[in-house]
Amino acid sequence: MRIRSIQLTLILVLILIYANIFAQGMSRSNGIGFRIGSWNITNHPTRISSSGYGKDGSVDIGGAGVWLFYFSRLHNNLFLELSLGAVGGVHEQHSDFVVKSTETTAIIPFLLGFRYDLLSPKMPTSLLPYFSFGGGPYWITNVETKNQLFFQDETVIESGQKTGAYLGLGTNLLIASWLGLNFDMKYHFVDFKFEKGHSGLEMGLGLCLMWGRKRDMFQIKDIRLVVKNIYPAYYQFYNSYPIALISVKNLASYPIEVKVKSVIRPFSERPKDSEYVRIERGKTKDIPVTAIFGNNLLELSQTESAILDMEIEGRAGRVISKTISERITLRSRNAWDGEMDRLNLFVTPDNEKILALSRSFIAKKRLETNSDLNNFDKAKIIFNELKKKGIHYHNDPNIIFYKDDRVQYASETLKLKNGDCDDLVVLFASMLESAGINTAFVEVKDPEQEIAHLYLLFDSDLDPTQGNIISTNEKRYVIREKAVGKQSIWIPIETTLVNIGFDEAWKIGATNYLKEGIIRNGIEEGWMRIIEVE
Amino acid sequence: MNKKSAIILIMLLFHQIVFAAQQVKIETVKGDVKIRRGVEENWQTAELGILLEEIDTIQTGEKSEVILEIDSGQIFTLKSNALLDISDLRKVSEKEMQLFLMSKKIGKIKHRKQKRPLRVGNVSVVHGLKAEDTKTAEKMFDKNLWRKETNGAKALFDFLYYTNAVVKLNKILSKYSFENDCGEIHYYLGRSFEALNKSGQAIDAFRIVIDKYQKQDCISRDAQSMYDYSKIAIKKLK
Repeated sequence: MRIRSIQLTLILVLILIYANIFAQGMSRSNGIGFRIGSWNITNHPTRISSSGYGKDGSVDIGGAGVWLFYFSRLHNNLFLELSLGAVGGVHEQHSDFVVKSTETTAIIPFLLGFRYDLLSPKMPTSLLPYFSFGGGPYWITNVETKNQLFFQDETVIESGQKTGAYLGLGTNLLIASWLGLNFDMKYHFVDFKFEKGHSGLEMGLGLCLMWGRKRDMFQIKDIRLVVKNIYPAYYQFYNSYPIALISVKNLASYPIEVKVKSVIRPFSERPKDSEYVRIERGKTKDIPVTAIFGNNLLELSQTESAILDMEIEGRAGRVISKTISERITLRSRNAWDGEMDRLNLFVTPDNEKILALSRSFIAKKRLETNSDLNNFDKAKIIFNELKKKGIHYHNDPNIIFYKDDRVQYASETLKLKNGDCDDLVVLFASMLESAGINTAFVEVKDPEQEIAHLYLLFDSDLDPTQGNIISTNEKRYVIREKAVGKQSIWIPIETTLVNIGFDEAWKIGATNYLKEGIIRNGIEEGWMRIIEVE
Repeated sequence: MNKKSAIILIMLLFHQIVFAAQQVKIETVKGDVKIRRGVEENWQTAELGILLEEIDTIQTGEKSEVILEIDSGQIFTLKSNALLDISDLRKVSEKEMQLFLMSKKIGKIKHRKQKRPLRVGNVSVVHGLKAEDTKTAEKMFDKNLWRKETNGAKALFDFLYYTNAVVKLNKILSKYSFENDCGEIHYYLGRSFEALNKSGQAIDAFRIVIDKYQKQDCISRDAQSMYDYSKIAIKKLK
């Protein structure tokens, strides 16, 4: 007997553990159930008694019944509840004089009410206590029969309908998300003339099947692709700049934290997790989606499409995940969308070839002159050495359906020995930056010209009072602030004129800067911009 | 008005201004007059009939003079020991002048974490310290060049280019660290503002003249007369 009790206890514990793992304390939106209940409607406790060697005795069944119920979620933890019951009770008595007396009572309640789950789904439990209330008609029938020894048999039938109400308290034990056990007690307020006392209290045990949506923790309201086209050159930029924004609404009745894990197949090095974003109850927040790209992105030679997979994870005691995907386009490695602020992402001062080349140019000259060189001298040497290598201007190729500008990396321009204005600016900026010289792009979108133009400014590191070292004409250079309160002389240089050498390229660059930036006020008017290469 | 709004306003207003490239012709030359083309290094002797562009510069030596004819047919004389950018002859409206002065003030507002803002003039020279905190700016100290540029600015004043003179004089103040001028720059600033009926700005400038005269060792007759004029002008303008 004891062993059997232990076995039963173990089985019960296992059921509870199972319930906790899989049910996750989450009621579905609809359910139908069956329950049995004990309701003492005859005011006699359920018992069998006898006395006088069996002459006198009674049999009482205080009340028992079955119920069918249906529930449906109205809002958050509030459910509508519909119950149909059939409850009966019998009181039978026999004695010497009255041979047999039987009183049978049957009640059929049809009740409409509300159930409110007391614990929020945030709790990682499958026990969901609730309270309920409601009311409706109770059809009551009472049949009393008397079989008497000396008199005629009597039968009295009372029947009627009463309106009543109930208050209840109980708990659901979710075994699975679709199956639950139910224990509860209700107190029925209904006027039973033919009974007294506390027979309004009913206790029950049931089983319910559930279907429909679980109450979600969050809802994905919208996905906005901020970046529809991925440009490989900006791959570092995407680590911090959002590719997409996901609007998530908190459906729970408590704050939740949400993060997004993103991966772009097959170009992501690994999935990227966003920070957890706290969303208050009922609020919606945009969660940025970023991605970590691998080196294979930089090998793309043509436009390709890819899938952005996003896993949205919400947590608040428990964790819920949802996945969504979006198609995005990946451009070729040389594609540039014309955004000047991003052209510097093509500048590669740390490229081994560029680094070695710029250093070799400078070292060679240093050996020849046996003296230290300032930034101006270094830039001049690098520029003229590029001229010696035969680097020259050449238009971009015409590529059908190619909407982007095509920018060559410095190593590619060195290999091809030519490029257009952006290619040459990128080449010279890469070479100068690798030599430790600060540079800036000058973008000119002259309203009087059809085509935009680009040239370079570099920092000579000379103090403004040292301008006469490089030129007697102060219109040849620009004084710019290096850091707060520190100024230096910057040299404008027309990089497309690499084939004619530094001096001419400087002269043309300075003239253009003077005409466009100063005389015509291009900078103030906004059609001329200076963008730091950083 | 915050800095950002002010810059946007300036940009919008500047957009209204038509910067028609003007040409200037050399009418007469007396003595040592040189011109420098754009960003060229060398100065060349000015010859009659040469057309100068806005990117060019002209200078006169001692006891020299040049008369220029501007597009409009107006005559402009640059007297001895003066230097002028041709772009300085483009007539500056009062609105432009005020915007220039405002932009100088904006430049003095402590900027936020801005990386290497461009420091350029808006009218003539590349190094014009427009958006600049003058306390921290590195300035030139070349008295001869200062004298020539100041004489150029005085020529603008003499030929009633008051707005141009205000802009030019402010640029000189920003560019050079030469302080012992007995208030000469501010005197011409005051006179220009006075001519433009800008009493408040004129009084401010004349006050600096008086202050400099009292603090510096000013013994020349010119300095004395500038001081006297400033005192009278302040009383008159108040």
